[in-house]
Amino acid sequence: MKKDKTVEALHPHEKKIIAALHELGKATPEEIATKTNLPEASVHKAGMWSKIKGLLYHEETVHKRVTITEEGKQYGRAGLPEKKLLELVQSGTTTIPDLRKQVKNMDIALGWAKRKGWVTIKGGTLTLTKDGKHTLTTITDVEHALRGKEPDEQTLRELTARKLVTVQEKTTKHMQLTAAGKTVATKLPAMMIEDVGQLTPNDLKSGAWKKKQYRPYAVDTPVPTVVAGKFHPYMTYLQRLREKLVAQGFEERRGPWVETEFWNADALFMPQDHPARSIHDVFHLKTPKQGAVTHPSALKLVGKVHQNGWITGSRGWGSFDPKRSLGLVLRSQTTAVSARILAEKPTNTKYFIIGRNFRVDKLDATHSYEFYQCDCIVIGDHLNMRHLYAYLTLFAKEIAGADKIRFRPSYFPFVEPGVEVDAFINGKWIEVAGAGIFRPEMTKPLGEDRTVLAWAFGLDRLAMRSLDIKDIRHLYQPDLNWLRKAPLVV
Amino acid sequence: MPVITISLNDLKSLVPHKLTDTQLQDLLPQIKVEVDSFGPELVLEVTPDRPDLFSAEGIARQLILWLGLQKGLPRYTIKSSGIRITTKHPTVRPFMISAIIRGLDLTGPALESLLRLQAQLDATLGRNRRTVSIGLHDFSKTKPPYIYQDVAPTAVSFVPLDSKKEMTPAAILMEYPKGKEYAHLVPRNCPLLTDKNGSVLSFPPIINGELTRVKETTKDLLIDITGTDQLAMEQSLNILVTALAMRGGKIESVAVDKKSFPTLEPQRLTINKHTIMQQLGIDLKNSELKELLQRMGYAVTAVQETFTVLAPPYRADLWHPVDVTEDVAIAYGYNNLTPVHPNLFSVGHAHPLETFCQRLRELAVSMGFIEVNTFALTGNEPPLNSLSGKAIDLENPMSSETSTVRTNLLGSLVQVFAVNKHNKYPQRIFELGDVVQLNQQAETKTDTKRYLAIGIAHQTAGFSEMLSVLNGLNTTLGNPWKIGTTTDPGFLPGRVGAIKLGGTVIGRFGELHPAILADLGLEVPVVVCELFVEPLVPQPRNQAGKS
Repeated sequence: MKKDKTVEALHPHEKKIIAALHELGKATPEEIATKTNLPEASVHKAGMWSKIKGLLYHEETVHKRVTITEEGKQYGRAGLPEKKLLELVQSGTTTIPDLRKQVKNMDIALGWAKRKGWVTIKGGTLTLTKDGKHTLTTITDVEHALRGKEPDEQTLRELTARKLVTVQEKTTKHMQLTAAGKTVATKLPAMMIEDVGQLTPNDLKSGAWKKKQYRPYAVDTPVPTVVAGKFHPYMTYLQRLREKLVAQGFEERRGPWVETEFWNADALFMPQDHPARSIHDVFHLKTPKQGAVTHPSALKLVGKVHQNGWITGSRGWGSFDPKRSLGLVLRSQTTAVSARILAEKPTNTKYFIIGRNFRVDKLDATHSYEFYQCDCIVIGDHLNMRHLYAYLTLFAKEIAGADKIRFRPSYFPFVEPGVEVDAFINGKWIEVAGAGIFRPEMTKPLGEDRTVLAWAFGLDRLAMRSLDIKDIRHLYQPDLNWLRKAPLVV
Repeated sequence: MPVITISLNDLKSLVPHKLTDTQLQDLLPQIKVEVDSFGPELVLEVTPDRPDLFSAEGIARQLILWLGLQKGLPRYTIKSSGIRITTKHPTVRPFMISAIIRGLDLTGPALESLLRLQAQLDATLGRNRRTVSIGLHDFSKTKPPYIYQDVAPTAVSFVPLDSKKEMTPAAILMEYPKGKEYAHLVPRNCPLLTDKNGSVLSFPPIINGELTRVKETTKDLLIDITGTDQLAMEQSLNILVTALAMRGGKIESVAVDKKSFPTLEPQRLTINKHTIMQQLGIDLKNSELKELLQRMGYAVTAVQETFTVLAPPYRADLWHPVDVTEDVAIAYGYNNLTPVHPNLFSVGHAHPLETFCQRLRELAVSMGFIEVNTFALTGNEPPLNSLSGKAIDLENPMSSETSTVRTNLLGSLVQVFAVNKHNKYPQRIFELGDVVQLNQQAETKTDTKRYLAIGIAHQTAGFSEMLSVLNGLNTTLGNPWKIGTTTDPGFLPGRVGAIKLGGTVIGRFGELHPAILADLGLEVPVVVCELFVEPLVPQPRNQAGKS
């Protein structure tokens, strides 16, 4: 039974090869290819499968092919130079200078005659030894070889060393059945009915599948891996944040990347000469340079607040240039959008913005000139700091995963009181949010008389902590290898 | 935030109450001073609204009040010095004020502390010496009265601080380090403060004369402050003289023309107890509120709910009564306020565009695409600029690679392929991201638009593969768009299509031009599409939310 399973699992090509070998005994892949009508590559491939299954083995034979070189052929015709030398010494020419005149390749001749012990040299005169005399009467192995006789190992070494022959090795592969293979072969004829891989629509329609034998597959065969589609971890993080904020009753708003200085700073009661508004901190546009006034009344009142506080009870900053308000910059804080919301007479009480901002900064593992922020505002008649604390506590726990939180007084031009939120995360205190109540200098000129609680989270660092990302550039510079491997965010 | 360095021992010695290191580390953040590094040299970050805390003296004073070691408004006695400065209103820095401090002991950390405070005030309140610039002099080396006036740049010469040779103001602006750094602040004539002998005390806002250098041995100090912002100048002077008073200095006034400085006039604010209680969500008795205000240095008079407070003259951060509310919170202790949830119902909504984009994101991922997120600041250089329209240039870019705001998403997407050549193919990616496009009608002369970009790169990537993807999206979205022909220099001619919604082109797709691929060193074909998303967003029903 076990063998039958082996037979069933055979690929049709394997069956053909095994049958052929059974008949031929021992055969090269070329021979099998001829016999089975399979391409030689298929014979190699299917042969390997059967070999792994222990049904056949490869036998390799190495042949040496000896080719006589041009020099060798010449010596074969004209005789070896050392033999020539022996002949001349025999006939009476014994001094080296005389011999040199008559022997071509004199150095080679003398070298070999000496090495073989056929001559002795005394005072420049050569004398034949006993071996030398004997050699003259015989044909040496080298001479035999040069005339076509197969040389023995030692002779071949000499011939190769003298470059009289070249030797090439050729390996021939034979395939042969193992004992198991032979057993399988005997069961083959019965199994040589049609054996099918792919189930086809035709077979299904015609019902032919009932008569066909479907070859079982090796279920652990290596195949290419499908590359799955994937969300960017950071985008998933932002989406989860959005869902949490919506669940807590917040409505999302969106604002433009290119902002007027009015919304980005003036409306936030940031003095026009504030260092954080300079070209060292905020990107200014070259073209176009100036925006238009769409909220003339807000512009006028914000201007008055900056000048002298208007009716807010504030002393203001003492100066304001409405032209400066129209300068176009890249939004440097999502609070700009909060200001826009207030100017639009909001009907809801809770809003949030998740947005990208831009600030002049270097780019390295912990700094980026683009960054995401989340701004939240809550608008109501009698809201106070303790209400703000309740939201901040909820958010620090829900969003930043804080174990506990603490508050510190802080300063942002548009809130008072201002508060900084520290969260205790994984055993460390970390600044997670800036917050406060919007100043009357901000709300009143925009037409908002109620209290507005506000807070902002920087999201890049929170996300990096949550997603265990060490380099901020992974958020903005896609490395596909990293993205493919990044764990799924749930 | 401004970072200051002070000596820990100096701070402790200025507070007449023993504070442990742990107590100090807990206390400082509660009075707006963040501790960056705690050691013999304290490195502190102070919120920029409180320049009065930029010195060991100022922080010590706040601690003394907060701990209740001294109550209410700090009082200062000002004696008239009888000394006069005549100003002839120089053109660029018209204003000057001044004061004299006598009986100082500047040995030990005192001198260093004074010089650091001066530099910090110059940088912050003084907007890097533009609006306020402070000069300090050893009074004993001067001969009053003084004159402050414009002088031609080569008319006089004096030895500037840290120098050995006499120089004219013109030479100082050309050669002297501080002169070169601040030359832009004195474009025409040079304002000079000189004494009766004609000696130059100061060339504001550039440099003082070596003659009046302040040393550890200096006992009496002359302060000159020049600038363009009179309020900030007075605040700076008040902060300086009250800090020196902490070290036992006696304040004497100097008459500048017809007015006398410093005035050290407390700021009067009227606050309403009810308002403060409402802002903080707490309920205090009048006496309790009064106590809290006193612990922030206020003098308080209460008539029922109306509190009239006098604030210390060194405070530069009191724009509005709400700033007093924060002080009450600081005295009360930020962490003593407990959270209370307001009863404020609301229904949440994600922005319709974001909800729709989330569906698109899911669709793209279901088709086997990997989401990418890229920078919006890009270069505007070949070959990728052939994919964009008119660039939106920055005035102050950091590099040529980040000199414009992207106007399309394809450039960013193709860049991803360009930097991922070493990674396995096929590469199938998408991004949902914002771009900025010009619109003369808009408030910001631009619109920020959401785009979807998709890209495929592998050995046999081709036009029909991208069209299949687009058709798949179109079917799922209810067939909003039709495919039309177009030409586009970024694509292989004849292998680029337009995506049309009604009569409007909202996107393009096709095989990227081989010239671009070759330029980027890409060795496989790349097919891309990009699509303006907003017009595809379904109109929200049953929802009043605006976008």
